[in-house]
Amino acid sequence: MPDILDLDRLILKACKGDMEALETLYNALEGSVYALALSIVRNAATAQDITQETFVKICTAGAGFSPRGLGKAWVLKIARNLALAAYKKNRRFADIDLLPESALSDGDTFDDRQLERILLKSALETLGDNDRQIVLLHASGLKHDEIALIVQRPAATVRWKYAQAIKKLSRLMDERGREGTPHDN
Amino acid sequence: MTTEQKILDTLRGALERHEKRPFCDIQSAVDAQKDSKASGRKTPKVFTLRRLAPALAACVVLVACAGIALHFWSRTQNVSPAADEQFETMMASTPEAAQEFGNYKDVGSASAFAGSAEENILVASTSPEADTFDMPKSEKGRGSFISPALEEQMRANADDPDFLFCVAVFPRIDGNYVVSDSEGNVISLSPDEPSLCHLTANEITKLAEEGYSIYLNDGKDTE
Repeated sequence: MPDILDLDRLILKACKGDMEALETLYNALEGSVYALALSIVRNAATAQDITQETFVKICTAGAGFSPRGLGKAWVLKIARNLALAAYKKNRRFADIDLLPESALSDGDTFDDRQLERILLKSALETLGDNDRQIVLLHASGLKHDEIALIVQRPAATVRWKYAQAIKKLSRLMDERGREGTPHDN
Repeated sequence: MTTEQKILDTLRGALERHEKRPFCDIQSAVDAQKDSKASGRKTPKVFTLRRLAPALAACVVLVACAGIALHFWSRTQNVSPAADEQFETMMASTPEAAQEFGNYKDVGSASAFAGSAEENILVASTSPEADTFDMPKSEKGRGSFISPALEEQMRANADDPDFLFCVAVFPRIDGNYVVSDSEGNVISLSPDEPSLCHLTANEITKLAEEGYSIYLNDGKDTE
């Protein structure tokens, strides 16, 4: 991952139409952009569309960017706005496909890890929009301070919400794990 | 490994396994966007029924509202000369003929008139003193009754053959009173607005439909 100043320089170049810079930027930030879009629209295919649209927008309408070490937050804000617009337009997609089966499965065999993923998927769906967003963004590699900039909340609030969400997820997974385990009679 | 770590690992794994689009797709989309901007073309809009549905729904609502408004407007405007004539005839005729107009009563004699202190009726006199009756505003409108002062005057004059009682009193929707005497002459208790005297048969029917009692007297009992 390039450092923050490199990111700013890459964005500036990409804004001027430098495809190499855009590719580097895409490889560095695609995961975070996708996670953010997914946390809002809750649909893998739409999240992929938004990821693509975000990078197209950087290249075609990025004249407003000023390098201040906040390039990553700027990119993610574009993604957030696009995702929110798509979510408002297509609410019917909500809750269908938070983590698709392809992302949950390792292969043909059904093991404990796969069960864990399925449990986590259902637990994630019980979280509020903001909490789920914070957890997914943190899982994609963003720090709490960076998440705070994106969700426009104080960093302390983000940390607290994250801790509460993880606690809730752990509890739900434990409960559902116990319910799903066959009992020996 | 802590539960938090497990959760994060699982999520990371799931996110990493998502289908990442190759960069050439992004590049093609950027090129297409630039081409579209350079040629000044706008994305063609497809006017499907789904896109047009909100506009169509708005049109239907507008037409319906206009229809309703027109209906009510025409009801207030539709006072034909024929209806006026019909009203005059009704007022000059017997109560039986006026029954066609629905909810009314033959009030009979003046004393009966004075005693029928029911709701929805206002009784006034066509004698020269009529204009001096001070009808409190609070008694106007639906639910009015014979004012104590008027009732007293009526009782006092019940046997006076020169004292003519009105035969019909209608509190108009606008709050003004319109009355008609036994001769079929329409008079008004609202001297400032004499035009309100013209109450049509349509309006009477409408008032009857709205539940106002209409009292008629051909005046014979007062003679």
